[in-house]
Amino acid sequence: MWDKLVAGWRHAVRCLAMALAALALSWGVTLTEGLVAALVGALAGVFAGEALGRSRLRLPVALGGVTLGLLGLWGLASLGVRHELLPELLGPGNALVFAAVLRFGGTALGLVTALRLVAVRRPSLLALELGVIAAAITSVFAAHRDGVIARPLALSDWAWRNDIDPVHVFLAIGAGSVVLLAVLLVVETRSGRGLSSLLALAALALLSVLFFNVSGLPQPTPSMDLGLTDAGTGGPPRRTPDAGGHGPSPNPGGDGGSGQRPGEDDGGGGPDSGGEDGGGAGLDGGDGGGGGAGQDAGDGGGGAGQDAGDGGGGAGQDAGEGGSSGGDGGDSGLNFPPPELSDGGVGQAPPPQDAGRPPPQDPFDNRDRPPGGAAPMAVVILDDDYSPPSGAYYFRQEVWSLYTGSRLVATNRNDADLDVVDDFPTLPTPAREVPPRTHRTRVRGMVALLVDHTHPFALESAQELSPTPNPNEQRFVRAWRFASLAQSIDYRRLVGRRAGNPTWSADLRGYYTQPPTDPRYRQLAQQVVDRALPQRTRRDPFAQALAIKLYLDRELIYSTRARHATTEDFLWGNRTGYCVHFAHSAVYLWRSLGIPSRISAGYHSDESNRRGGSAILLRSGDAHAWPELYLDGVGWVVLDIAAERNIDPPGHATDEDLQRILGEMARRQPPNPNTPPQDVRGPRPQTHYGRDLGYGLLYTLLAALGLLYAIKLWRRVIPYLASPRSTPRVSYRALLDRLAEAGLVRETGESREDFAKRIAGAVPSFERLTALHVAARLGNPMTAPEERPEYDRSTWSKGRRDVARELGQQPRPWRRLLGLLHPASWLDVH
Amino acid sequence: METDFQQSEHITHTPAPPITDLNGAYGVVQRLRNRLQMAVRGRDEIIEVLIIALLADGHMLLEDYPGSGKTTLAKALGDCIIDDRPDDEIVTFRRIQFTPDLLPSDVTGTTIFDPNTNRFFFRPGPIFAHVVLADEINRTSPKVQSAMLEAMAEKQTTVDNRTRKLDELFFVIATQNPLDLAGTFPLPSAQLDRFLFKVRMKHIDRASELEILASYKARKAGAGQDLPRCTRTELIHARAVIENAVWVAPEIRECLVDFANKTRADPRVLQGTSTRSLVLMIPALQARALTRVRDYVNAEDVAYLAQYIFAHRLELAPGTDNIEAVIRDCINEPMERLARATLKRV
Repeated sequence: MWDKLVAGWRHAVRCLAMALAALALSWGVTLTEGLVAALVGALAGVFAGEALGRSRLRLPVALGGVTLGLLGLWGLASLGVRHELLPELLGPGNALVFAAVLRFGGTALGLVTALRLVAVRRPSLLALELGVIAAAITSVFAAHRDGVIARPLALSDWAWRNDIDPVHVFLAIGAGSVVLLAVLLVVETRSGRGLSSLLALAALALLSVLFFNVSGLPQPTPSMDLGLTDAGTGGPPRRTPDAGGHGPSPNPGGDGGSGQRPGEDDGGGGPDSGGEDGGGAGLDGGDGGGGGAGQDAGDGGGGAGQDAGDGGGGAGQDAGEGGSSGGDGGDSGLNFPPPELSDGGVGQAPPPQDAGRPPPQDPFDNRDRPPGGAAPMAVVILDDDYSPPSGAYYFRQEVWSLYTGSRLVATNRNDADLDVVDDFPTLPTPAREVPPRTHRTRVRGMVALLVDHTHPFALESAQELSPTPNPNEQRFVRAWRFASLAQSIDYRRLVGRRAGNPTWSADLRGYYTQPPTDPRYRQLAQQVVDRALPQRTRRDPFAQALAIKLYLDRELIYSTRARHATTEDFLWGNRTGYCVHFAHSAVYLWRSLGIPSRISAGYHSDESNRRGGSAILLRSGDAHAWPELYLDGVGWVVLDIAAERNIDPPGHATDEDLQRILGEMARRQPPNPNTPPQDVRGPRPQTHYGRDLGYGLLYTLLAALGLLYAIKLWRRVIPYLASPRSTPRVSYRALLDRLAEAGLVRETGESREDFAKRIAGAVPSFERLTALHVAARLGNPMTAPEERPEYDRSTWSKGRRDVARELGQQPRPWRRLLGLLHPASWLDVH
Repeated sequence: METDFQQSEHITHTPAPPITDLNGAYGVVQRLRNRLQMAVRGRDEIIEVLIIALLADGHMLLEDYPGSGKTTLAKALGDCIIDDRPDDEIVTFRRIQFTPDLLPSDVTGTTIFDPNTNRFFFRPGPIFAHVVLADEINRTSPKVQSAMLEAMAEKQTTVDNRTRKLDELFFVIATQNPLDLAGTFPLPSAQLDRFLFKVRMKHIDRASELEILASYKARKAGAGQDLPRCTRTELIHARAVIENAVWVAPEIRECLVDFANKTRADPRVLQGTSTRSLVLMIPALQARALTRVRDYVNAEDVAYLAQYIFAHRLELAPGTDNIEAVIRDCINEPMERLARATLKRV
């Protein structure tokens, strides 16, 4: 009955699956004619493969023939586009259609034929066929991962329009495909065993659905950041307001070693006592020892390399102008342009390293991984329209100002860097230090995190962070609101201000201006300032800083591949590096001139990325570190280095759709304006599909498994314990169990004798034992047991040994092992 | 009795030692099997069935084409049997060629007036034999057929209102040609039911046929003639031993009844298996078990005999012609139940 049903349906199901696979693979790649050709080719391939498989042709010959035919069709197709003959004959349009039909139809035909042929000849290779079908269907949805939601757009747009979550659509399609493949598998294997194992598979799949929240949107995995997220192994350098008994020397005049904290070094500085030593160690060790560096350095987007070049070039020119026409005087007289910032061209930074790891050699080291920083990290919604004078938004997460002798790390003072909020707000949390309100504009907004981070971040400079409900529990890990005092004063008007805050203690001022021990910084800085600035502005802190910035813009080369042991190594080496190197260089040079400065780390997004909307999508490639200097009356001012030369490959363009969709989600706007906003319902609870139910199911399954094994063991052991009366029955049953483990099972309606005869080739002694067993049951019960050999226990123990030995000679030992592990093999025995 | 005919038969006046156990009965089987297999090549399965029918006290209907060896087989069977009671009027083997103009008395015998004694005396017909070959039984009129069939069912025949008993070992091998049906009188199902087995003979395989051609001369010269025979009394004893000593388990009987019910419920079958056929099957199963040297009947016996016993007893609905498939389908479930029963606790 089953066989008949299957025989009829098999081909139909197979055709359907193959047609779907062909369509999935060629969708969007070819013309309609090509699609139709692929469809027809796949269908024809099913039958051709079947026919070839049943023919007497040898497999290699048949496969070779299929390959040759495929090559021939391709050749013919290339004739249509590479040579002029066909276009002249048919016209160019028809020639293209001809080529597409030949190419796609031929490929589908050849591929499907080969797969079917192989599957017919070698049934185990059916897996190959099923795998190709599964891969083809999956490929359509491959883009829907790593946080990039809702691909393909054709499908998700339709779903949004009809107010369906596209995830459900995708899940439905996936479930449908699984069912299709399962049906195909059952149908092709033609045995009840396939069905029962599929049931087990379904139970496992259900379990995984219950335990893993698969229905949510895909969570991005950050391929790199600056240690901003929780994902990596290496944590960021922690701020330690009280550094136990090993506080740093507050003395700014101390040497490099004095800034080091012996108890909790940042992993970057390691045990080096000074920059020179660190450099040496770094040189020796190369960059291989970055034990704590869990993050990698993708590239953020050298796509804007051109921009950076332009911007930097312009700036350089202007600076030259300013330098030569130094007599203009006045704040505005200086024709300094706002610092042009490249579009992510300086996006990369290494992770600061973890304290617990063995000290690595390279403080900046980050594991060399392939670039790729498109994974979305967070989305920021700006409530107020704000256009930064620098042309880019800087979201500050943490600050590194403590000089350790080899690099800057988070401070351990409790009076420095108070303008950053450390912890995610549960109540409205004001920053402990707020920059002066003048020259700044208040910008409010909200951040929704896609990946958990260690600290909150906000547009510089944060004034207050406050909690806000997560707008979409499935999508975001947390959200908060921020109010920032963002810089509004133009860079040109910063000239003429004093550096540092007059309210700072001398100690604090010294802390922020603690220069590196290497005297070359001072020499270089002085040299640059002398060369670039006229006498009048030569003492102006901002002019000095800008001159150094422009100098660095010109001199430095951006590359995320570069590794340097120390900043000195970088600055007096090949000058090829990324944002952390740049920022350190700038801060060291500024500090050597006595300008209070530090490094901030966080995210950076070019204003143009907004594309006019209020949502800003921050991607892992936008992680950034930049130098800042303190100007009296303005506070900490971002003065980023934008290298003119970028030797990284271009990065990923902003995904506007994703930015828009995530922004709508963060704002809790329904994608369909016709439906009421979801606010009335409140945030949707995260669905775990009943974890308790899952545990219940798991324990039930485990209990069932244990029970099955117990029964299996019992049936194997009981022949040794049974009474003589039931010895034949239980012994024979134990033998049947063994045979079932080896895959030898009596078929329905088959008599015991026929079964024994059927497997006599493999297990010859079983026939005799079967006769004994049947005689025990169907023989004359009046005969005295002594006269009946079937009740003799030794006969049976010998029989068990014989069967075990004969099964041991079977050619496939792994099959027996599988059978032994199979908990329900005895269920086949009846 | 003409003396020339009697001389061709094997007669003994000294009775063989009686057969009392299954070993002796199996000796009979072996002797029959050896002689028959020597005489008829390539028909081992038919020979098995024939021996089973003989020991189960049934009759056989062979469906075959001319020249397939049925007469040879029947004659060889007659040749196996030694008449140890030569004084009665019953001989070991007779062949009756049925024709449309045959009369019942041609079969059963007739009373003849003897002018010497002025009395009628009964002259036995060919039916008074141990083995009767009824050739082309469907060619004769129903009248003759029914006379024949009475004899088969009752082991007696009635001539001139006087009932005469046939020998206890009365075994009929009837044949009919399934193709040449012109001018025939097909046996009604009630009469078919009298035959324990209906066997459709198939052409023998190439090797056997070659062997027949090769051994033709040797057999003509009388090869295998000196193989041991068995006496009529031995056969009767063997039947009794089989009936008493071969065990039929209740599970087997359940299987038979289940099968019968299955055939009665099957929509492809107009008339299911009769109870009589089940009754007849029991000795057949026992005989089969003996030929396999077993003292109990098992599932294999049932499966083996089902086709031979039930194929001519089931009347199929129009549109169904594959009787073998019907039997196979119907016996599947009872067989499964039987197989499972052997693993159940008693």
